[in-house]
Amino acid sequence: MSLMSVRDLHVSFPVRGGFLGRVQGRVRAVDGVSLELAAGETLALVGESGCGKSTTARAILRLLEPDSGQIHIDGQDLRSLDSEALRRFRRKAQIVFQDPSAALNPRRTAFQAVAEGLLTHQLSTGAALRERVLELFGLVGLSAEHLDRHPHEFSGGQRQRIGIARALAVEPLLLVLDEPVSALDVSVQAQVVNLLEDIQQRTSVGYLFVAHDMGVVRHIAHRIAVMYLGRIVESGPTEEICTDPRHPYTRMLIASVPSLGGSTARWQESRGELPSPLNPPSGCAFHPRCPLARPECALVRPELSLIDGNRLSACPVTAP
Amino acid sequence: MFPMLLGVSLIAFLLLSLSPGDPLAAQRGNPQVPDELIRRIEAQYGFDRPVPEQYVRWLSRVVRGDLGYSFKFKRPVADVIGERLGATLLLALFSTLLTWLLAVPLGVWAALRRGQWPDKSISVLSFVGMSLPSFFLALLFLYAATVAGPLPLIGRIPIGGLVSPGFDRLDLVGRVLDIARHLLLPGVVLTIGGLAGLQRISRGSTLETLSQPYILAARARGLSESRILWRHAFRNAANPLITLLGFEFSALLSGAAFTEIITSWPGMGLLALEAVRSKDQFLVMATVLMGSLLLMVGNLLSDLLHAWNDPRVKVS
Repeated sequence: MSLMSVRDLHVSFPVRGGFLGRVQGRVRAVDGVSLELAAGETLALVGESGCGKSTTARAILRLLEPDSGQIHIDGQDLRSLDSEALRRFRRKAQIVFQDPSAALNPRRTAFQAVAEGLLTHQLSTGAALRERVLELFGLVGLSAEHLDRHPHEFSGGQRQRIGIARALAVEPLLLVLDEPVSALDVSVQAQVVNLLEDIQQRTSVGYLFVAHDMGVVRHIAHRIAVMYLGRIVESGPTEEICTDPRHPYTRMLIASVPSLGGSTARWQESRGELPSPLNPPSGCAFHPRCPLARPECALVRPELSLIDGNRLSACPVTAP
Repeated sequence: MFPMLLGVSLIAFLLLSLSPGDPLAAQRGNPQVPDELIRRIEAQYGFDRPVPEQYVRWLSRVVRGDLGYSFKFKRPVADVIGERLGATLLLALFSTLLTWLLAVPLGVWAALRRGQWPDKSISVLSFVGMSLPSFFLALLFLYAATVAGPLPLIGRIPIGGLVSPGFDRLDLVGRVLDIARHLLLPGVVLTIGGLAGLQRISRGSTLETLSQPYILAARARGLSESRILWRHAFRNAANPLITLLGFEFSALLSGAAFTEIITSWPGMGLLALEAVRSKDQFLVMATVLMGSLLLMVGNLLSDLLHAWNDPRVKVS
């Protein structure tokens, strides 16, 4: 049984405008996303900023209320929980945010940040609490001297370590990592990624790793799902996606990372900007930017279909 | 702090000497006061000297703790100020406290119910409150207090002054109650004036804090909504309010002037007006100094509160 199973998730936001701020339409930020994650596995959700990957991550944890779809984590149907049951369930699924400076309350010490989850879920109290927090600090490479410091006294990398310790404190089965390293220096990125890998080996926690950087993703993920304008366009095992991308959008993403063999000038040319999700292109949403686009791409929206047995791609042009 | 006081006093002194009028006008007009005496007073206080010299003489006396003599009240300025300062501080403290106790919870409540009826109705009332000038509100309340007649529990609301006639014959409890009844009208007028703005700021600040990522992070850890609001959001939302507290406290001392004048509250505002109208030079200067001093005290107060509330601010 999978640790996390998401089926046909939809999230939309109202667009207000005009004199009285009436709802004039809805942006479909997440438009029918399905994901699976096994225990101890890392699934990367990649795409450009604005494609809906962070919204997907937050909706899975019901930090945003989805419009429709099923979310199961550890066998529990998340959408059936009332607010109190959801609050208690949060112990099993935690999140680490992109900007560690903003995600830590400037007024709370590192100890308070890490201990609060333990107290809330009644996992530890008194002297044992301090021991447990110290243990978590050790796990993420911080020491006792850091306990009573406030966030502004830490570096960016240290702050993210606090964010990770805080999420791990309640021993979650699933950890959503929402661009956990993109706000950090490159050298610190590698440290944090290695730390995350260590932790996974020790605890067999499952990671949903949201990122836009294919280089980092290739290093840490077992499987990759590529997202474009609210939809998954390709998914499969990391090595196969990176060495043999099928969907033109995936090729473009990989070509943009020099170390992954940004070989073809053709893909570099095709870049351009992400279209507005307010008014998405007809047919395949990628067709205005796609160098392989055919006339029918503007008419019919392609669905994900199985290729090579264990991969999915939503491009009929590149399908075998 | 001292350079600022110096600058303020210099400008006030110059403006005062440029304005027409004469502190000894009343004495000059009195045929019983001989010219000889007036010239002696002029020489004693330096009114016959050039303005810069007058300023330096005044300053050197103030530094030694002598605020001068009030020709209007025929008493030392320090005595007059001391008498009025208490009344103003009482009014300022009362209305500041009342404003904060009402405005901050109303702001937080409106933020939590954003766009719903509590928020909308409080917003409408706030805009009405902000649009009403305090002098108009004071007149309105005076009229209402007069028309209403005796009320249950508090009796007839006094429409002016600090104490009733016959105050001296009351016992301690009676005296406190008497002052409290007089405080009611100017206090409520000032509170309504300050309430609206502070409620808006409290609402805005709470909304901004609630949208911060660390609030989302707290929710993701499964904390209860009340803990998120009070432990995580409120202390951060209080920062701009604390900055305001310093300004507001000192602004009340001067901003209360209109209300003080209309409700004849014997405070600094009323005193400053009386002093300027009779060009009572030393008294005017003392009220100006007092005003700037209280502004600084207010700012110091809010700085200290910041240091207490925010770990990023350190007292050095």
